[in-house]
Amino acid sequence: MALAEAFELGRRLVGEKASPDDIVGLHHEAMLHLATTQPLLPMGSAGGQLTLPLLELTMAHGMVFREQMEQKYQALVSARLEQSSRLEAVGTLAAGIAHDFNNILGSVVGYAEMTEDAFSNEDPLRHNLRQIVMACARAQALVARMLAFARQTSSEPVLQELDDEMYQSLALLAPTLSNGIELVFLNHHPGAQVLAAPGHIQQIVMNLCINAAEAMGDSGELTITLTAAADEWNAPKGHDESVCICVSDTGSGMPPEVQARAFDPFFSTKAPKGSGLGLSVTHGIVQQLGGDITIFSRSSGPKTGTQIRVYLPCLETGREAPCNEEGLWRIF
Amino acid sequence: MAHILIIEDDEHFRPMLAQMLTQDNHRVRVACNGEEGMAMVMAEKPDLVITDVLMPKMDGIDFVMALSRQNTSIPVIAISGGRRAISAEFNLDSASLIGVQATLAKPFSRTDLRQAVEKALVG
Repeated sequence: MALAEAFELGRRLVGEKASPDDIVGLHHEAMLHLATTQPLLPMGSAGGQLTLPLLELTMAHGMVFREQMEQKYQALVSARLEQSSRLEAVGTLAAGIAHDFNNILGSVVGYAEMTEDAFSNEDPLRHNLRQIVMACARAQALVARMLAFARQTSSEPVLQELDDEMYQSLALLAPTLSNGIELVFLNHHPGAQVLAAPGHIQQIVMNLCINAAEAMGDSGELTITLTAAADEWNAPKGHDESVCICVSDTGSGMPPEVQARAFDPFFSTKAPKGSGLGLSVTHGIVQQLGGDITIFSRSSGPKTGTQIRVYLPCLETGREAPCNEEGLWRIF
Repeated sequence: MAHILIIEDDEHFRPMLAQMLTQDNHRVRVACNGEEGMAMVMAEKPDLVITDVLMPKMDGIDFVMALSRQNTSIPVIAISGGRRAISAEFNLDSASLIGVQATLAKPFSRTDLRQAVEKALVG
């Protein structure tokens, strides 16, 4: 058998998901069949004629297998590079427009406020103008988030107590949630410290919680858990010493096609309301901190919801004592 | 009522700010960059300068430093919307370090502006 033929046969066998063991098995079966059906055949030469092509076939199979592995690896690397350059592009874009955008917002707020003064307190038009001013405040916050994203590479990290940062974020978040959403913070790793730029932890927690709350609508359970990654059975490799923040909701969940694009910049299932930046910003920050982020989500069946886990390298544990006497948990 | 000089390169924000201050009975003059602003300061000696931080030609920081070399005691309010990878807060912190009396991040409310003007004028 020519090597080219063996190569083609090998490609077909790989396509059919045959392993090298299967090929050896084939050889064994062929030898047995020959010995049974042709007892007079000198087995040495018959075996040689059968074994040589099968050896070539095994070798070709290995080559094709390696070629396919390399192709898969290249595809993975390209996808990562593409995502990284897209995130970088978002940063550049955000930084470029932030100043002009704030100037525009400044003009809108200014003129709206001056016009507001021309109406009495009871006038509905005054209420409309107040809405314009409030919308501008939201836009300003969005610009600040985009700028923070653009600044990611230049922020100086400092040692931060994770539960304290998380608590502050949740205290900010709690009043903005619908009454039907129960917000619970389970702190199983008090005093864990991480190295992060100021605001990064709050940004991670806020972004994840806002997404979770939006997925639930008016009611549901939003549970934020802080644990040692070693206590998580599905922690990614290399996080034995890490800490895990899990944001879990009982919302509508994400189907697999949404999960696959969840970290893509400008990908949003909430358009036109959502900017599609929340999770990609979070992903960028987590990567910058040397961490990992995973999604587990169920969008069908009796219990839907999403759990997003952020694993961050933990430098030291500051204190052993629980946050409160009820045993580490707090409901906002 | 005070004589206030606004130094701001944004052609939409500048008239808005001028109108806001005029409505509060201040006498307002405007300049488009630090160089023009410095010439007007020397000529008119305003009671207060409100300057953007990031501008072409002479920016707000250079303007404040140039002003301090003139041995004047004119108070300054720095305003900024941030740019590139620099936040408005960073610009304004830099301005505070070199001695401006008040800072405002764009967009700001009319109340914030009134308070800043009052603070700067009282000294």
